Amino acid sequence: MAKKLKLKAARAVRDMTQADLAAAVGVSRQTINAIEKGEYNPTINLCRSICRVLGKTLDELFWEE
Amino acid sequence: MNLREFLKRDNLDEMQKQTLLKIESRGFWGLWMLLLAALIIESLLGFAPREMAAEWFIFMLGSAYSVISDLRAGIWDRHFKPNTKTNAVVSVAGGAAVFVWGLIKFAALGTGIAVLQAVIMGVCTWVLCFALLQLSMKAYKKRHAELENPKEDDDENE
Repeated sequence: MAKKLKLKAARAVRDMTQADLAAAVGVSRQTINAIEKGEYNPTINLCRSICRVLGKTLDELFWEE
Repeated sequence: MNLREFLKRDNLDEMQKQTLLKIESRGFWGLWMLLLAALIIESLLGFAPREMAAEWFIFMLGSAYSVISDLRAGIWDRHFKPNTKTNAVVSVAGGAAVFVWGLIKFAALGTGIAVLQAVIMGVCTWVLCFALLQLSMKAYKKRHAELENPKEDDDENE
């Protein structure tokens, strides 16, 4: 699985730590860390929650060319 | 807090739940294999069936739960395809295991008798395993077809 650099960048733009994002979407920090490292494939519901919090679309954050 | 609220409470997120399921799965199969090994060793050591009854009952209960739950969910196996040839080959493994067990168990009776006993038991086990696998495969295919083609019209079929 590829690393989710777009997610990391979007989080940095909002000045959010992994813990902040985790708290905002209701998961643990280790889950956000695993998603960013490409070690965990999140459900569509969690993807949507992350997109909502970061103000991005699914394509912008999770689409891989 | 009552029991219902306690059971409803969920402290885990989706990744933690998946990790927990993996841990529980490894735990189940680890215990299953150790229980099987214990039963084999005890039987070779000459334990009476009555002395092994509780372990055997738990082992069969766990196995039956696993098989029935899989069949109800329309799941066969992660690696093996449901076909007669595979069932025949897998049954050979069961038959061979019982053949070896028979050789060891009846070795004291002399080589000839031990081999004869082991062959009879191995062949019977092969037949039994093959028949059970074929029956399970039939049940799996029926259930799988039901789940893939639900009778009632729903949004998926429109």
